Amino acid sequence: MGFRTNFTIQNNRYSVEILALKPRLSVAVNGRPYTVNHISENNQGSQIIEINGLSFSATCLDSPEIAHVKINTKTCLFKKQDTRNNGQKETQSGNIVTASMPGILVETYYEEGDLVSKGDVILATESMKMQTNVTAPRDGIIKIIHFKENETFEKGATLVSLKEVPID
Amino acid sequence: MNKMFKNILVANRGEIACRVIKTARRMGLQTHAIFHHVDRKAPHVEMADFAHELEADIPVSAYLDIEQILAIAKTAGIESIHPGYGFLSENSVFAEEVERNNIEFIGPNAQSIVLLGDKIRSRQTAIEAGVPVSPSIEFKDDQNIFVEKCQTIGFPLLIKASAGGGGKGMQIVTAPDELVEKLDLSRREAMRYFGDDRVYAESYISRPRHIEVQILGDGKGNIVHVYERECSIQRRFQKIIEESPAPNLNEKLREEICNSACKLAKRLNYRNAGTVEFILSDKNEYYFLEMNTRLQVEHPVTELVCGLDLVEEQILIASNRSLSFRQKEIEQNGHAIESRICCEEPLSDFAPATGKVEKLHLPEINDVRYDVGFSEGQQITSDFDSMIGKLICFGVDRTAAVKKCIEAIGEVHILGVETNLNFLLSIFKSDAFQKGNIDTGFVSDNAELLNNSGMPDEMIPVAVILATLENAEIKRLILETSDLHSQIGTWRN
Repeated sequence: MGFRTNFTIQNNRYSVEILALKPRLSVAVNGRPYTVNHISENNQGSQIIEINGLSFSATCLDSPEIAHVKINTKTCLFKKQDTRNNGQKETQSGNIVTASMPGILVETYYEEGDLVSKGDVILATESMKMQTNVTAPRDGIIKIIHFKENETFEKGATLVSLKEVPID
Repeated sequence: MNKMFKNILVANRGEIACRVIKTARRMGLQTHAIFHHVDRKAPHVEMADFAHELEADIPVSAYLDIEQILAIAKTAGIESIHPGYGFLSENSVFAEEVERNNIEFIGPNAQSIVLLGDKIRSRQTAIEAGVPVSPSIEFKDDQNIFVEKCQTIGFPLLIKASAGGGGKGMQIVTAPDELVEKLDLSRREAMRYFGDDRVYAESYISRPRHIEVQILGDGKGNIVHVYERECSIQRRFQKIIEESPAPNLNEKLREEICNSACKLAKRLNYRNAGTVEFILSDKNEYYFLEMNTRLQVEHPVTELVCGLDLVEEQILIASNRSLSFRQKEIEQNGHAIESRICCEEPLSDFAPATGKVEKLHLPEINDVRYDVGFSEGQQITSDFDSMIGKLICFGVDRTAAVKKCIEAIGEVHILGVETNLNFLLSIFKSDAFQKGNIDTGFVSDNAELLNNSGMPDEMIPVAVILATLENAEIKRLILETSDLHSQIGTWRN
């Protein structure tokens, strides 16, 4: 299928991918698949949607910058952002990646001294039960990975420091 | 019987302009709105019989432009001007200029506005009227005397600007050695904001309740109170939820506070609707805070429990009629709660949010009133206040009113710009609010209500899927897949 998109809410990034249209509509959110079974709409613009067998009443809005959804009684506004920017803050030099919220380091994909390109996934972290990938803000060499797997970190903590690739 | 005005100009915008126009129209007055270009499609412009554009580079300054507003009023043959709240509503120069042009200002006389707008003078008047005022010391040139006198009221204390408001020029002093420094700070800030460096110190009451009393006076010696409102739920020093009657307030105290408010208004032979604000300590001591000489944002809760239209009363009073009822004829029935709908991001320290209201649904529900000044398609900008409307719910008692708030907020849809509806819902669903033990520390004491006010974590993937399926490209893709199309059924293209 290949349709992918990203949403950010409260600095958490969610990636969505349409896995299949047939025989059932299947959508992955952060890699986890969901089956969408039935959608109907009433005359007030509300939809009834069935996802993994559970039914929800919802109103949705999609615009170029945001998506805004009300499900049952709560509202949730997503910002659409550049897929490259993971919601982590980059310093001006792009040499460090800090945590936008407290969490736990789940998996490390590179070691210190490894060469990475902009957008490469360096770490996987988990915050608020959602897994998030930490990507390289630019090309560089990993100087320090500040936490080990299963260690927790606070909001604002430096997760990864990069250094410049030496020019021959 | 005095003649009713032929017409009215509402010198305001947003929900309050709409609110005033509704009543004025019902009373048979021709209605005139003013607007800045950015508001040309705003509901108050559409609603009014006539709308006049004001020229200004900065939108907010249009609604503050006395000269232009008066020029429009004179050309249009306006007989009365309602100032709403904010903007020019408590500007004595405006009140004076309006009257000087033989137009009726729907408000008090300029003298009342001047006197009550000055904290030192209004406190003095309250003392003379026998209204409790917290112990205070006025600063008069001599620092040493001031410091010495402050010892008598004790610490912590609060230094406030006489001309102040909105926390400007206000300093909390926790110990004597901070006094001189904080005094200087306060005076400098007061000078900068209000061009008036008169300040005074008063004892600081921590975590008070904010109770205010609605007053009506006809300027002919008749004063009534229309009971109290509880306005303790605040964020950033601004009210977000108000109700009437005040919960957990004993009858005797309620009566005493309401009577105090009347005493102050009587002393001034006050004309118009007004609000006397008090703070109530946890020891049930109450003190005069200030008197507002205008219609308050939260006036609808009073209207719902007392069955009055306060704007109608204001217009009748301005047309020189006497109050048509006496104190004993006013009764409080049931319970009303107002929620202020603000475009803001509660989880980012209530930062104002902007955007376009793309979808708006305000369902008709019994005992729910919407006072709104925006419509679908409207751009919410940072030009004006973030409060775009109010949701007012009525119930036979507080429990029923809270239930109504929960029901209404659950069904209201405002999509396209972030609002505080999630946060309001969290408050109404909380035990802390439902028990009614509230004070001005509520929002910070119950921080978890704010932090957990967003969509529950387990619902986020559902929201993400819905947001994706709303995407036009995805919709097309799905509709083109024929067997899925029939499976999905009636889906809007």
